[in-house]
Amino acid sequence: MTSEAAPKLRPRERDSILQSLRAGVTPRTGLQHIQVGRAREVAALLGDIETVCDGGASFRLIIGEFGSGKSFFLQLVRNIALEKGLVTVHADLSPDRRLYSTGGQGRNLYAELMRNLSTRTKPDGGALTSIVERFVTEARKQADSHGKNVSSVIAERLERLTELVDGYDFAQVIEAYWKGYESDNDALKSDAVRWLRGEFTTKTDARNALGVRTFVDDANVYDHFKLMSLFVRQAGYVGLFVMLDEMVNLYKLASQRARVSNYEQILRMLNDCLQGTAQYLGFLLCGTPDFLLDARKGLYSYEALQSRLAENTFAKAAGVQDFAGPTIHLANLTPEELLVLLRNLRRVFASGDNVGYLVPDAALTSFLAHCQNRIGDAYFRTPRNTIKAFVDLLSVLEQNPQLSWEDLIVKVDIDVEQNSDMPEVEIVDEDDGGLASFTL
Amino acid sequence: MAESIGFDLLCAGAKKWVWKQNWSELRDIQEMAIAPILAGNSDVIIAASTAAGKTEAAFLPACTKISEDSRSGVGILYLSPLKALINDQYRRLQSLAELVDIALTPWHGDVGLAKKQKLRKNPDGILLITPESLESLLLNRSSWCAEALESLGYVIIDEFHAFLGTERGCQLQSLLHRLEFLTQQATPRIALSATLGDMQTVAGYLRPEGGMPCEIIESTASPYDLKLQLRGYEELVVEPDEDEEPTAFREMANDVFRLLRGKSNLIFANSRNATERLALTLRELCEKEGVPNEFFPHHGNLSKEIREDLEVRLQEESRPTSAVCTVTLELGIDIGSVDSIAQVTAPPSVSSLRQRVGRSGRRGQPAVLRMFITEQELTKNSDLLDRLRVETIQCVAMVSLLLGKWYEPPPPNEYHFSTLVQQTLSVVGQYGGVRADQLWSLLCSTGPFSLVDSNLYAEFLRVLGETDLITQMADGQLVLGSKGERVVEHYTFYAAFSTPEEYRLEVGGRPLGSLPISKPVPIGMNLAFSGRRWRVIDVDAERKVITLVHAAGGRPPKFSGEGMMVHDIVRQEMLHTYIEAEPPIYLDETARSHFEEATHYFRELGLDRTQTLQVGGRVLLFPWLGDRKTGTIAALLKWQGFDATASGLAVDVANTSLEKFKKGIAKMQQHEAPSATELAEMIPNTMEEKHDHFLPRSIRDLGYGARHFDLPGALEWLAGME
Repeated sequence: MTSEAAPKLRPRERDSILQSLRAGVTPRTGLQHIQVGRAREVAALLGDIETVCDGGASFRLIIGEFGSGKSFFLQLVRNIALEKGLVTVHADLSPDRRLYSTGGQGRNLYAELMRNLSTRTKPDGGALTSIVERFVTEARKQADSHGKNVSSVIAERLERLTELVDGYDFAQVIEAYWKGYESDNDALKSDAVRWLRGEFTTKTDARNALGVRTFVDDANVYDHFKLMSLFVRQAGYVGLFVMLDEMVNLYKLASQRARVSNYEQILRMLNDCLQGTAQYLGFLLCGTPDFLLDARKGLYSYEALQSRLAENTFAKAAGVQDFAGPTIHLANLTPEELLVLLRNLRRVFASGDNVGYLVPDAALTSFLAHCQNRIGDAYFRTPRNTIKAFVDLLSVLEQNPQLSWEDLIVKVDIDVEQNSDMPEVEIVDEDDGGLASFTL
Repeated sequence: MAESIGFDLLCAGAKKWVWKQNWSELRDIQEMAIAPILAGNSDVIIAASTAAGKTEAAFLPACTKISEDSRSGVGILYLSPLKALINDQYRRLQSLAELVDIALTPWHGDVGLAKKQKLRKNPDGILLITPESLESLLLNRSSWCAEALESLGYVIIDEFHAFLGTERGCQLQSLLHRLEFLTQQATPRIALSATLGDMQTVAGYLRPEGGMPCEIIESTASPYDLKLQLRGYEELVVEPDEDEEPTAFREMANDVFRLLRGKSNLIFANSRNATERLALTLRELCEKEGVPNEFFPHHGNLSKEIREDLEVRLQEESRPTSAVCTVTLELGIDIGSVDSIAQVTAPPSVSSLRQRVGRSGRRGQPAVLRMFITEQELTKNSDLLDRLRVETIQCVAMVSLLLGKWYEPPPPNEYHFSTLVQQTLSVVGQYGGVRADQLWSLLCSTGPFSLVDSNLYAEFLRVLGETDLITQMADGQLVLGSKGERVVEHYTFYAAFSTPEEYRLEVGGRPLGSLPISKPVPIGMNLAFSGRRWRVIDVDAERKVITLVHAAGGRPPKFSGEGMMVHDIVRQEMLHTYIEAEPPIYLDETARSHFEEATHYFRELGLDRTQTLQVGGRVLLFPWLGDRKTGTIAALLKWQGFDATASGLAVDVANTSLEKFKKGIAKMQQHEAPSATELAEMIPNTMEEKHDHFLPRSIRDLGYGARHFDLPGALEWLAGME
């Protein structure tokens, strides 16, 4: 994707990219400097973004192994969506953050999404208040120019919302914000924002603070996505893109009932998008193959979802992907793409300068060969570790110019990814008898 | 308040509370416990009898310490085996909590939602909880626990002796270990326990993973005065009236009635069936004499309401009350103290006898213990073991051990595979996806299942995989399988022990108690329960409800078995008692004659010189060892092809002669002895614990063998046999 003639990096950008990569997480900015391959996948998501911008709705499931670059891909799409004037919300699911629940986990997810609500000018989250501000400002302008009162303009602009579940209360809360704005009542303003962020937990509190009877709770998270998508339109944005990562946490729920009720919410999203009942709203969900394919606990265990998400059998037979279907399987990076990736990393290290590389081209091929020897094919599927090891290697060379890359490469140790939701247990010098590579 | 170093260390609120109690001084264990608990860098075991002030010994300093801690979150986690005990402690600790100004929350299945919600929102102070409820919290609200228990100062475990060697005890160990792993800090554990032998082993049980020293505090209070009597009864071989209760039983009940009426007593009858039987007879004696009934049964199958009514009645001390009870009243439920203890049949253990005696002794009065022991009438056909008057001698032996302050040590460590199933599923459910090596590290390598090595655990996990309790993701993480989810979601999952399905007994819509479903009763049958007689008028199999009305006849139902293992030392003391042949002064006339018959016959058999006897076509072995070793000897002989059964203190080998037997033993010693697991393979059914049915025979037998057999002990005896 990136040509060797790309512009130089600012030192701050360079450092933040390298720091993220060494920690094994996706950098927030500067993705274009390292991104390789996945051209068709990106094109498909660009199409989704266009659809949302044009008033439609989209639903995509990105499926890939741990460390295959799902989060990277999600971040890339998010940056594009922000550039196109969309509002994005994103969050990782976790045992405490779900789409639907009875113990606060649904509301937790919503609150996390709202914390991360971003716009082009505020790409790192925390943009909810400024959207509300912008909406109110717009409403005032409109009221001034048409000689109306602001409350009635607000009511008019939010009329569409009131047809939806909880929409009337949503409009009331925005109205309350305006009242707080008008009367310099900061407490009222902050209560309204707190309500929108999903921070209210009881009816009584909501009624006392804002005079509404509902609030964002565990059972109506999805309804509030729809409300928010219409609201951001009225605030002058193009639409809303909801991005959910680590969907495998739903697969891991210990209760079948809890899992099914979450899958039902996914079905609602999918149906609304396919049937066109949702507008200006896009969904991007990332998960591992288990999350989708497992017939007993995965999305495929839910009959209605399986039939809608099943792979295009013709495409499968032909060994190609159908990018028109709702599911995209992230393809492995090819050896050529990996080589480009290493080249990109080397260039980031050199602050985008084409001169002053820490290692010659020969080092890149020799590094890849070493990795392949060490962990075999797996590293094509999971570039995360390869990247981390390579960045570590360059970092050592940068600080110790006297060392030779040839000596270092043979010492590079790459672990196979060891995933777990449980923290590691410290044990003193005891043999686990090969349990680390246990298979049932 | 007398001079006290410990007292000065308490916070103002705790001091105020002590003053309000009008205590003239702190008890010895209370004084001794203050400094080590305040230091907060070691575990503490407080061993004393019921009502010796253990609760205060732990809570006064613990509350002092946490009241000085400004952090929010639960400061003291109190674990108790009984819901009733939690309700009790909640009542008792309220005034202290108020004065020290810390929150107090009871938490178990019957506690209302409002109290729980409050703690969920604002975790603080003292949390009183059962192991089952803690299991549920760790599994379902793991991240809440991590936050709420982050600044936990102490874990206090009440009735710790009741957990030793049980499935629940193993679950408790695992829960505490998982809790410390979750909060990433070691929290001092304070165990309140009855006095047991070998307190060091108890300390090992309290923290099997090690890593913190343990301070043991035992009461040194001067020995209590004990008034003691052992009354003997003789059961006739031919009863005059088949339909009536046996003569000996009626005589015994008459004596209980005569001696105990008008005072407050606890009558321990050891089984639920015997409890009902005796309570019924005593009630009918009251009715016959035209006096108000003051004898009531108390056992686990009675409804909560009935049990609580009785506990309150005992506490109030306004009317004379005798509870005919099982071990349920041995635990520390606050019922005040009673005038005397009656023990019908031999007590299950010395430490249990100590607990029971501790309930007696009011207002400086000596403790009173009466034992009512029935032996068989002897005829020329009487069995040899009947002639040895085993129960009488066992009581005498247990009393001398009690007076010598010897108590049973805790049982040895076991595999506890059934509980390992529960804990494995619970950890997987708690975190979502975990690796096999992490599970093993947490539960076995650093946790309480230390007998399970990594190879065995791998085999164990594969079994769980085969039964779909767990399943594996592409990257190797283990998650719950669909079967596992159903098990974990079921409300019975939190208990490590199996809860038998039961029928609820109702009278006029009010609950009377419960009956195991395995012992069905047909409509029209008469039944004695809760000390009264009833007729079954309806059995609703759907709702599992049996409706009763009053009736004139009926016998108590059978419940599933209860029993306790007799220890080596008790049998050794019995041997000593037989040899010494010195009847203690506390025997009544009948008991004394039983004792003399016993020691006489013992000498006549020459048992002071030999441990093997040939009696007709059978050989009897007297190893004078506990039930575990005696049972193992019998199993070893069976393995060798002998027809051997362990019957209490002897091993009975049928169809053999001494000569044949000794040859067999000699032959056996030439070969390698079988393992405990191989012995278990001879047992028709090794399913004992809740989740055993998920496990294959091989793993079950390993657990069964280790639990029931003491091979080195048995082999040592066989080798030493002349």
